[in-house]
Amino acid sequence: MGKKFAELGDLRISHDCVAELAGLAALECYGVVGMAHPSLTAGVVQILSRDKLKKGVKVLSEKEKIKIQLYVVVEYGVNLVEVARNLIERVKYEVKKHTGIEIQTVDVFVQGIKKGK
Amino acid sequence: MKNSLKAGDIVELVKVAYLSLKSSEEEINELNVFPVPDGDTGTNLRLTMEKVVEEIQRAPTRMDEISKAIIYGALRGARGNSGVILSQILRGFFDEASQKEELFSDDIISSLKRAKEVAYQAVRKPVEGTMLTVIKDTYRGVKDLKKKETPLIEVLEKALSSAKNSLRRTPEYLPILKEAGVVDAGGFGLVVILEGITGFLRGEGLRKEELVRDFVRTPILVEESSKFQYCTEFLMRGGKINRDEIEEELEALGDSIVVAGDERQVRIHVHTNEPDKALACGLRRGEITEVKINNMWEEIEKRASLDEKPKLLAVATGEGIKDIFKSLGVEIVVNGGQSMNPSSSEILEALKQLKSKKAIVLPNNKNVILTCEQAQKLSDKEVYIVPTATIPQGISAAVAFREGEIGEVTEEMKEAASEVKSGEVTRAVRDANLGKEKIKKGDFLALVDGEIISTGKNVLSVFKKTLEKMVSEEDSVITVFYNDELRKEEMEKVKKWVENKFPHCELEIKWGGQPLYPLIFSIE
Repeated sequence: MGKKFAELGDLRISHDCVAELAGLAALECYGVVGMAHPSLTAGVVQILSRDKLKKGVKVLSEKEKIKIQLYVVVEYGVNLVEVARNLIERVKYEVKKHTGIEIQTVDVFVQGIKKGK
Repeated sequence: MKNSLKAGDIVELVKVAYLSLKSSEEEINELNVFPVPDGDTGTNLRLTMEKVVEEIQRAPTRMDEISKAIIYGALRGARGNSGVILSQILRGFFDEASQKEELFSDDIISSLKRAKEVAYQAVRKPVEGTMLTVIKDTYRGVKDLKKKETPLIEVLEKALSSAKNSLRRTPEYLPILKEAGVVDAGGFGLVVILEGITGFLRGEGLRKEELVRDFVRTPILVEESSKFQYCTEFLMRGGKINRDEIEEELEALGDSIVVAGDERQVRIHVHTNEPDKALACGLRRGEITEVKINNMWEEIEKRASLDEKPKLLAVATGEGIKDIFKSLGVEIVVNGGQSMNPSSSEILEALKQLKSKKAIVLPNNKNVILTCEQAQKLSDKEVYIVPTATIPQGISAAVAFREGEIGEVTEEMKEAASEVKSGEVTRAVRDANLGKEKIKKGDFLALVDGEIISTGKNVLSVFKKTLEKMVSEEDSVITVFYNDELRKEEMEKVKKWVENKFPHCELEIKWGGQPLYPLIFSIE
């Protein structure tokens, strides 16, 4: 993903970097207890550890705009629709703020529900 | 006063909480800068609670059933980030409460504990300085109370005051709040709920003015080096609003675009050089309201042009006394003093208005010193405090003020303040024994530097007795501020008396107009 500064040169931001940003923003979002792997193998959802966060985020780019897919685990008993909505807003806002890149869509996949004590 | 809350009370209190949020909705909205500055926190909290109220109206009247209805209503009604957090707080609280038939003090405390736990477990990386911090501190504030013996209302009062203190500290945790000069919106929502509930149980209403005065400020959202001049914000109503389409159109006009809401109503925020076009974008689709256009460059300029020279800020009450401070070069006098302490946010606000990057503060009251210290920590200016405990000390310090290196000047002012003997004459508010002497309610007593020097039925003779005890050979000036309880002619008589009694001294009489103390005086 790139941004052009005609007089200075180009800034290029890798998908990985956007994924990392999105993952961090997601974890701070209320209701989200973790990121999960996109593929559901053997029906087991594992919460990704902090250093593997970006595995729970897919970044797809299309011309100047990008799409983000988030794979998350949400706390039991919260309003999923609302958490997803907040998550989308927050991730859009944070990524835009830090990179200046326009996000076209953010899709949320709830891969699991965790019940706290 | 109740010592427990029964199911019926809970129903009442839920409605009270809803109404409190509803009446403060706009103020909460205004504070909203985090996580996304879209100004809808108040609306979200109100909508969430609205669903809860709806749900409990259908519920039967047992505590467990009502608890269930509250939890369900909050879950379904949760709107926005703050709404989801509120729903978890309610879930935790009523999860615990549902096991009781009525809630006593200890049940309230344990339910708050559960509320805190449940609120925290729903997020991987809790952000402090938000509603989460406020609910945590609320529980912390009550957890060490004697669980069974503390009256219910005291538990709630303690919860409320802890929540308020926590809210005041939110900018310390969350830099974005500090930059914008506001407290957390969701946290303020919680305080509103607690204030509403406590006020209701106390038999009063929600003290909204006080809350607004203490906590509500307009956030300053200045993006660094924004190339756009106008922060434009408005609410748009219409049918079938397509948010993406609006967003796209606004992108051509500027940045920092937020379009939040639903099909019928959206709040629009954009930084642009063409606010007219942004408004037109709304007008073409429906009707617009609550239009706010801020010139951000002007704000930035105002900040940049701040003076380097330190300015004085004092806390005082009484028109005469305030005027004296102003005549001594004090830039801003914050209203406050004995039994009417200003809040740290009031001081903070005054500091902000001061047209300088550096400030020296004169609290002029023992109880205000701490508040000023809090404001000092929160302020982004270089703030020094001369811990003056009385008005005369403050005046002496102000006289010693000069231009120069701020640390040095502050030291000189401290020294000047410490050289004054200062005192006041006031009325006893209750009967008391003082050594051998008995003080009756309504008697006058004179205090010098906090110690009772003399008492009596007549204010002026008490004053004279005090002077007899306190004035020494080295003193040369006695200054006295009187208020409307005394007449100028009476004071002139005292002046004659002083001239006879202490030929080496001069008495300066000034009208201070201060409440509570007929006389405030200094000897130096």
